[in-house]
Amino acid sequence: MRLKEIMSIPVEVIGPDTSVEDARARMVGARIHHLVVASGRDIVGIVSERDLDEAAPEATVRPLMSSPVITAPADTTVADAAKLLRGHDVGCLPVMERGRPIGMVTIVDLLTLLGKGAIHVSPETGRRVLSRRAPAPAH
Amino acid sequence: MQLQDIMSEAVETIAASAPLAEAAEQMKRQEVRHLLVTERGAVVGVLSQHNLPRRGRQGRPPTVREVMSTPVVTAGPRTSVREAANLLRGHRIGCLPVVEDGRPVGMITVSDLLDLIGKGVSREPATSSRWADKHAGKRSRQYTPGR
Repeated sequence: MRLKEIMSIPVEVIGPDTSVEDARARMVGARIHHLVVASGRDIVGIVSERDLDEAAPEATVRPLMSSPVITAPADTTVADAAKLLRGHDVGCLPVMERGRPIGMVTIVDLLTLLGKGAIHVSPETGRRVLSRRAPAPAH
Repeated sequence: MQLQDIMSEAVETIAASAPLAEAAEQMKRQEVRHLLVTERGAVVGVLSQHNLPRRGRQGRPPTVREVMSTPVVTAGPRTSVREAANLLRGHRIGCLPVVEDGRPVGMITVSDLLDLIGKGVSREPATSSRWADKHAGKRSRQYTPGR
C-alpha cells in the first residue's frame, strides 16, 4: 500500500507570515491539525494545532513552525512512512510529487488503517518491538 | 495479534501526590513520554509530556494530580492491536495502559504501533476493499481521514 492511495487531499498551505489566528481558522475550516508552511515553492515548515497553543493570535507562524520538514514521495509504502514518522518524531508527512505537496499523511491516518484491519501486522514482527523500543528524544 | 505480544512490560509509574518536577525528571531519566499515575496500586491517571507546563508558574509547586489526564482509557492484555489502534485514535490519546485485575501490567504507545506498521506487511488494496464491503456500516461511511 502506497501513500498515494491513503493520503488526505488537498494539502492546506500557508505562508510563514500568516497569523496564528488565520492559521487556526484554516485548520478549523478544513478540519485538520497540520498546515504546510511554504515560501514560494519551497516547503519551509509544518505548523500543528499544538504549536499554536498559547500563542498570541496576531503573532506569525514563522517562529512556531517545525522545520526542516520531512516529506515522502507519493509511492512510499505505508511501512516506510511509519518508519519516517517514528524515526523523525513527526506527526505528519507531506506527500510529494514532482517537487510539490499533493497530499498529507498523518499518524492518525495510519492508526485508522490499522484499526480498520487494512494493515496486517504479524506476531513475529511484533515481538521485536519490545527489544528495539527506541528511547524518546530528550526535549 | 494481542497487546500482550507487543506491550512494554516495564511501566513507569508515579504517585498522584508527587510534585510535577519529579515527574519531569523521571520522564527524562527513563526516556519516556508517559507516566502511569497510581494511587494505592490502582491506575488513576496518565501524565504525558504534553501535560507538563511549558512555563514555570508562580506559587506552590503543582502536583501530578493537578495536570494528569483522567479518567484513563485502558486495555487488557488480550485486547487486539486493531482495537488498540481504534482506542488511541478515537480518544485522541498517545498511550494505552494495559491493565489486568486492576493492576497495570504494560503500556502501549502510538510509537509502538508505528514500529509495528514499519515492520509489518501491508495488505494489498484488494483485501482492504473486501473488508470495506463486509463492514460497510454506518461507521465506515462516516470515516474521514484526520490529519
